[in-house]
Amino acid sequence: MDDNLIIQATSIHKTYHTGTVTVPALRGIDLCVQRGEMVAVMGPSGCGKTTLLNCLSGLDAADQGDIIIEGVSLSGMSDRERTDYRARRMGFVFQFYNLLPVLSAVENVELPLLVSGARPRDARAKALDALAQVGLSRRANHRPSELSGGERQRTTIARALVNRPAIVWADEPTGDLDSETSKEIMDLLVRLNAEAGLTFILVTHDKGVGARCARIVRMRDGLIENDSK
Amino acid sequence: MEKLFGLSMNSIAACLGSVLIIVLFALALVAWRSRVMFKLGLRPIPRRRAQSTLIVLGLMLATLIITAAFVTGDTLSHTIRSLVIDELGEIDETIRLGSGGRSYAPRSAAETFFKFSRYEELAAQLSGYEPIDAIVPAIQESIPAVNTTRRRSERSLQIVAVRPEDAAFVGAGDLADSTSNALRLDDLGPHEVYLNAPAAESLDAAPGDELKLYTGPKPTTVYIRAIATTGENPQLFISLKRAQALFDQPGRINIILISNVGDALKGAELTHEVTAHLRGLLTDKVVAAQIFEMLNQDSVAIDALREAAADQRGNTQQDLLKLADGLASPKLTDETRNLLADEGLTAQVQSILANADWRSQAARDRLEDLFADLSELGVYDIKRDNLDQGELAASAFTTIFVVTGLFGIAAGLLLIFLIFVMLAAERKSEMGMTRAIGGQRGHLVQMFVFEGTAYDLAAAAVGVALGVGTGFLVALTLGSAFAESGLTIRPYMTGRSLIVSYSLGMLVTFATVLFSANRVSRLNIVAAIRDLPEPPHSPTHLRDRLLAPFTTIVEGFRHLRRWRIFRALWTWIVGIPVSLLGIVWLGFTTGPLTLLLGLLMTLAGLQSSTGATYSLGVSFAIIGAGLTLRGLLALVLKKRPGLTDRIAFTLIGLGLTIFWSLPEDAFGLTQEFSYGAEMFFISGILLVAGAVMVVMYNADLLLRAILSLLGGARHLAPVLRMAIAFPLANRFRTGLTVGLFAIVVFSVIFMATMFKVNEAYFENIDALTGGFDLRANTNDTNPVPDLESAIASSPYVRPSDYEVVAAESTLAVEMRQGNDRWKTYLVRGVDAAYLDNIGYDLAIKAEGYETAEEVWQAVRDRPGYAVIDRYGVPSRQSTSIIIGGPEFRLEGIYFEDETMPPMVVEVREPRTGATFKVTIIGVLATEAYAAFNVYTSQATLDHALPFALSPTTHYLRLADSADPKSASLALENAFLKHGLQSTVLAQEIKDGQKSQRAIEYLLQGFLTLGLVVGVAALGVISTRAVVERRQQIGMLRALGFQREMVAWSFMIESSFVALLGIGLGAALALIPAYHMINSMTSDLPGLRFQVPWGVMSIVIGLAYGMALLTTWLPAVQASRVSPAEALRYE
Repeated sequence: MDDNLIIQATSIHKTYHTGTVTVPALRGIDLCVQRGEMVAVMGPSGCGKTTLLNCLSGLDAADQGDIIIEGVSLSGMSDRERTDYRARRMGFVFQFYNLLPVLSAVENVELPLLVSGARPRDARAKALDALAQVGLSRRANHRPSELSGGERQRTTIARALVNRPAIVWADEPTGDLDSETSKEIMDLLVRLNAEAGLTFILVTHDKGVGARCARIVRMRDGLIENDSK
Repeated sequence: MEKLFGLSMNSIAACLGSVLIIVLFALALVAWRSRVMFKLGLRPIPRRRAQSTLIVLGLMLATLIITAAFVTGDTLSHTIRSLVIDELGEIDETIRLGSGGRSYAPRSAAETFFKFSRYEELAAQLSGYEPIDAIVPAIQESIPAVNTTRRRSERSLQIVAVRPEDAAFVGAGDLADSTSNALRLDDLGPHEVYLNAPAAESLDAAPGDELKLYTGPKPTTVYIRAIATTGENPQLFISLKRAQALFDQPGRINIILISNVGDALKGAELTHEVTAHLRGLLTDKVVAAQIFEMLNQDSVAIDALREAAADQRGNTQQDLLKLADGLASPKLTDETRNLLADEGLTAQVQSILANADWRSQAARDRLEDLFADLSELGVYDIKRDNLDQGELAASAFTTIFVVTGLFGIAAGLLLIFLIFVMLAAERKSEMGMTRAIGGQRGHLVQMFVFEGTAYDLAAAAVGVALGVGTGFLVALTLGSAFAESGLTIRPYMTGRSLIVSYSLGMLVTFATVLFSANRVSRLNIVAAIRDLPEPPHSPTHLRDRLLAPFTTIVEGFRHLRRWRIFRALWTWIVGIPVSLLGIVWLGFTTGPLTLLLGLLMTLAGLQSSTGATYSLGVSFAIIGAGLTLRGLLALVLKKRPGLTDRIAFTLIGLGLTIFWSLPEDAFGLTQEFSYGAEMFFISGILLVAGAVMVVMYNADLLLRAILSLLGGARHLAPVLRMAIAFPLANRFRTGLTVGLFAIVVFSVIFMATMFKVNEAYFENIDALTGGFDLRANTNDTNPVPDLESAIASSPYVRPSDYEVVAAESTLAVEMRQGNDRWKTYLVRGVDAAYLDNIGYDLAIKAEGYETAEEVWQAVRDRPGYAVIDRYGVPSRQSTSIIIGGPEFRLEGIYFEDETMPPMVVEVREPRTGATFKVTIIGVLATEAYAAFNVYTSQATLDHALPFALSPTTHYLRLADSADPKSASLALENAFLKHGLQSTVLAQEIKDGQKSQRAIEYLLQGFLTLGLVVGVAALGVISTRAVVERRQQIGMLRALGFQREMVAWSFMIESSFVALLGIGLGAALALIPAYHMINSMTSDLPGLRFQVPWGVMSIVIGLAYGMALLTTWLPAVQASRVSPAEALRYE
């Protein structure tokens, strides 16, 4: 495998069985992503974008195929191993923020570090750093309900970055934001990608978001239709 | 059980049943009109079966407790009724010589027998009187008996003698032996008798045994022919003629038995009518006329009777009013004469006249003498009387269980509210949508009410079924508690009780459902749809409320302008009062009116010395002040509503907790308040509520402390963080659950602490027995004149075993204080040996006496001095239930007083009329094993009475080396012919303790039922939490939370809530228990506060274990949430 390849997915299949209905969400996906790439996965609703993201990130298990992240195969991992791997090497940004409403901003951000086994004091310091990176030092002790949409999303990004992940997975990161805030968020992501060399996989409907990414992978009906840089 | 809280059960059943039918009918009507809402309301029930089951279990507890209490009451009522029926059979009334009900005097045979011709006269007068179907002459007398064959004695063997043709009225049905062979009285030989089974057991007798019957100093020898199966008390059956010979009373009887038409139970319903008729026949018309002349048209007397009647109910009220009317009319009617012949009524009349200071003391004494002479023969409604006492006892027990169960019921109602809050949270967006598309708030209320009623119907049925089982279990436990006393509990329930239980359970639950539905249906539509927090009420909300009456008036005019007259009227007639009520309600919820109410109640309580009013007043004042402060702080701290609430509710909580934790005298109050049993419930609820408020509004500080303590552990940190954050985020829900656990655990631990004190109380046997080891009773007819000397000279005992032999005589008397009427009591004449050795302490000593010993010495040395037991003195804390017993109570002091002046009481011996005075200089302490006794020296009685009164009770202290049981048996053996029965006092107390302990365990078990509620609450919250937090769980899993970390966070969260509630409840319970025990030590110096570690450990362990068990399944479900699916779920 190419050392620069961070994601190598081969012949990924995933089918959902809901009652009497069978839905083949992924019908044989092959995808490679280089370290430090910013990839947008785009396509119409129901094309399998989120399913692909879930399988590649280890949130869900593919029915067939092989997924290798940083040279480590996810396919053979147990749920425990995948969970552990996510804690150490993945960051997540979702459309609806998924901040825990009962924790403050800094408590949300430090959570992945605590899960990884960091000392609480160290975790707190790093979390504050991460918030500073995204310009939210002054809002560290506020609950998500006290933050604006953009601030919440920046908090989510800080959480995604705090444990220095190999890959950041973002599912519709600007889906619930206005255009100005979306631009701010994308500026942040692009800056982080450029400065830290983080690999980003973004699932999005937004053409503007896609345009900011170095590579666009278009999907349709569970297959990659087009992969352009 | 016929009555509860003074109300007829039939009326309660009819009322509740009717209300339930009306409510269900109204609901059915609304359901028919809003079929869509009805279907929407019921839809979730089959879809979430586990949740529905949990809800039904939670809702059924109130009904279970109520049903169990009623089944217990029915069981006791039925048991006592059966005993009465078994004992009395067809006998409904009896007629005896003299006013035997006025005293407890044992009388000689000569004083109780009357001519047979009196029976014949009465029978002739009653022929054709339809309510009576039999009138039977008889002899019934209790005498001592000795089984010389087996050397056993019985102090009180009842001789039952009737004519052979009247045998059917003896016991229940004809006499028969165990093989159902009929036993006929005319089959008995000249020296033969029948015994019944209880007598045979008491005398260890079998057919053929020789009995000695002591009708006088010289016994009569008889032989047992057969053992009859009838009766519950020891009885002996012979023919009337034989009994007349036995008692040397030829041609005389001492009782007439009356049977009313109908069976053994139905006959008692005619008692009132029959008794009035009999009294009319037996009354001396001349004396009646004299009484009538004294009272006729006397306005003072008549007004006093009418005034007294206003405070009475039922038959007593009717009778007093009829008597007043009768006395006001110019002629003496039969009805008035019959009323004057009613001893119970005339006793009350005399009390009323004494209190009204009618005429002079001499006139009242003359009236009393006339009443005593009114009839030679007295009529006694024994069956009705016993049945009524039984009902009272059953009602009292039911009341105890209902009051005890109030905590569980309160917890159950809180749970209902919590469940509906959870359901509303679950359906928030659905409710928002419904409102958005045009549904009214009332539609939401309907949906919840329909759903809640469906649960309610099922829960009430389950509750009744389980309540019946619980009630039977209670009955069986009571049965084992009283087994040694010979009482056989017969489990029973009536359909009426089931109707009441079901209806009450349904209605109480329904009311809570309605309240909850009304509360949870208030929502902001946008916030509901978008699942955002509810925005705070805007100030315009308050302004709108205050202006509502005026806007309503204006609205009415608007309708009027458009010629909508009915709508205008409806707006004014309904709308204005509703809006005014809204303002009043606002006044209460914002504080000012609550504060005012609290202050008024406090003042009223202080004036009337009523503990409940005073305490509730102070509590309302604290709450009102806190709410008012909250309103004021809100103006100042506009941007920090959280801080406003924290300050206000913390202060309210602290205020309530401190007030209910400290003893009364901590506030410098010197007056004594009277408290009822309800204070246990009120104090518990408010103490717990206060503490929960303080904890919940400052829980973040508590949790910060926990986190700093435990959060350093690396792998525990993320789990702990989540486990603590969620309960803190939903303070109301968490507070309710903590409160549920706290209330129930509080009640159980408080009760256990008080019961532990009882155990300690019973440890000091000497304090209970006064230092004596045995009590020996002999019979009246053949007492042992000088037991000490008899023991010294008896070859059957070892005199050195008996260190002290003290004698006590018993005299049933009437006593009065000042100008009051004569009331029954008992006097004990005790000898010097008793007074020198009695170790009873005194709760109150007269001024000038420092120690109990000084008082006892004064009683010994100064004739006429006496000590009274604690039941002869009223108490401010009216939690005791006393059924029956003598009437006299010393007035002018309370049992809780520190000291007393010497109090002179007049004493009258009813047979001879001999009157003398005693000066009471002390009140026995609680632990003295005595009830309804005045103790004075034997010398006092010897001097005052015109006859010799022999001691029939002896108290003995044994040498240390003597075995009590052997010494007791030796005594019985040595004095068999005197019918001496000896009791080891310590054993008697222990046996009594066993019964008491069984009841204590029962009550504790009853209280522990409430734990089901707390556990159900946790189960509901945990199940709901899995659904609510599904997306968050998905995110946690995405971030790296392993499955078991998710499960652990749920378990720790439940543990935190459960342990907080349990810990609060347990700790708080010890506070009032400590104060109560401290206040009791002044009366019972041996008492000490002890923490019931054993019971506490069991309760805490059980509660926590059940809580974990309930949370385990939701925790496992949460751990199995797939992150990918959860994060898709919106």
